Amino acid sequence: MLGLGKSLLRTVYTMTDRQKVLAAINSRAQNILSAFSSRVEEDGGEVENPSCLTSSLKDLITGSDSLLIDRYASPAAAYSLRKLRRDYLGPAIRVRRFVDAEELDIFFDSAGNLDTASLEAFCAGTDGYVSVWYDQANGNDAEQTTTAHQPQIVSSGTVLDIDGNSAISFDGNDELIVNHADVYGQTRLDIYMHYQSSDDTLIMFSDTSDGGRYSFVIGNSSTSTTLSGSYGSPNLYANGTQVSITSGVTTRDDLHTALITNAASTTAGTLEVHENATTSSWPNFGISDYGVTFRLIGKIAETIIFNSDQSANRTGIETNINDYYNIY
Amino acid sequence: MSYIIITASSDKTSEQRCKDISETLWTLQRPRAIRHPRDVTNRFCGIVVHNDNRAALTINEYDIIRLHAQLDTTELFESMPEYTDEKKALVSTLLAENQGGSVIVSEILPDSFVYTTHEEMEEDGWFPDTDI
Repeated sequence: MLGLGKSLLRTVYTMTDRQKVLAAINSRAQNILSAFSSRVEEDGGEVENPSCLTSSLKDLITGSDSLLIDRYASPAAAYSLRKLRRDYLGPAIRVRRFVDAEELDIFFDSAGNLDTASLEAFCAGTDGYVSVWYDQANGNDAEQTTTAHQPQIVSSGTVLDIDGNSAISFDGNDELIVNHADVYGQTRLDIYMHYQSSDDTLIMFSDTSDGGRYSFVIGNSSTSTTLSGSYGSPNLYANGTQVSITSGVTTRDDLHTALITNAASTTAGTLEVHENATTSSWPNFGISDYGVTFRLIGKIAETIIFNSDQSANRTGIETNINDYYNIY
Repeated sequence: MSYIIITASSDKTSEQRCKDISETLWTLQRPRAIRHPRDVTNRFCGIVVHNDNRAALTINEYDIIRLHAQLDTTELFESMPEYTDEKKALVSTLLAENQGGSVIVSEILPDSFVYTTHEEMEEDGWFPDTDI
């Protein structure tokens, strides 16, 4: 009993101490940035992008063990099969195994990757489906309560993947619902996602009513220039390069070429970014949810949703994701 | 993919009845009595809703339902008044004989249910999302 008490005390002390260290690192980065900016301006120069510099400084000071959310602003929701925040101690996903409908939370291993050993042991040679993709930032979990719409993570005992990294497979009839107001009803969303797909028709995000509120529409051979609905006019990036969009000219087929043919259909998949989107009029938020035609056939490894301007951090966030997944 | 359009009852909409039936089918595989409080899954099949408020189960005639050894048919028969007494008896026997195994969904649903193809549903005005 006494030993357990000592152990708990040590854990509490360590966490408190680490928080102090993180605060000191942030403070120190700000001080270095401030001194650097002052000196540049004294010399008649201009600090063009100070927030990126702050991130770079924090990276240098904190070292390689700080994770994506530790380095950048906290997202509204962060779904991934790798650990994104060092202090996150929760599970990555909740999995239902086909054979007996038992469900189990699957966590991360010591390296911060999905604990595939536990997952494969749980599924024991059968199939596994995702009922919850846990949000590592705010508890805004993405859920699916209907078996027929749950995406798959294990097939015949083997964890599915994109180029060796665990990924969740959507079969064109699957969807995950994010019923949290940090994500819908927002004036600004910056969304980062890593996925792989050769789908012809696809809408990645929408509200669940099929009521004309949806993100970019990808349509192979479609000449329609209606590219989104009640989603604002976001910038679109694929593998770090901006996809040029001209209103009334760019077609759904153009998006298919840029996002699927030249990006997501490759072995490594793609890193796609929607920057400065809006969900102001959306009553909820679904991943791969629009109707029956536009749901994703493909795999998703990570989706990070910010409800704040991350344009200054975009390159850094893209680099973090690409460094892990080796996409492009 | 095929569909079963469910008519509204005097006290429930078509959509609510679809939800009830989908939940009931799931109880055959995962009876409420043995569920863990943290279980998330609670429905077997999907639901689509027409603009005119009709709703349909998204279900294939040959979809397989795994049967739990402790399943209870009370909820199943209560959720679907379309069952005849004769069909109830047949289904009860079939489920009892296959507890711990599996059955094909069309074998246990009421005989009056009609399986409609995707194309037939489209012709009837379902899935307007194809026109966005």
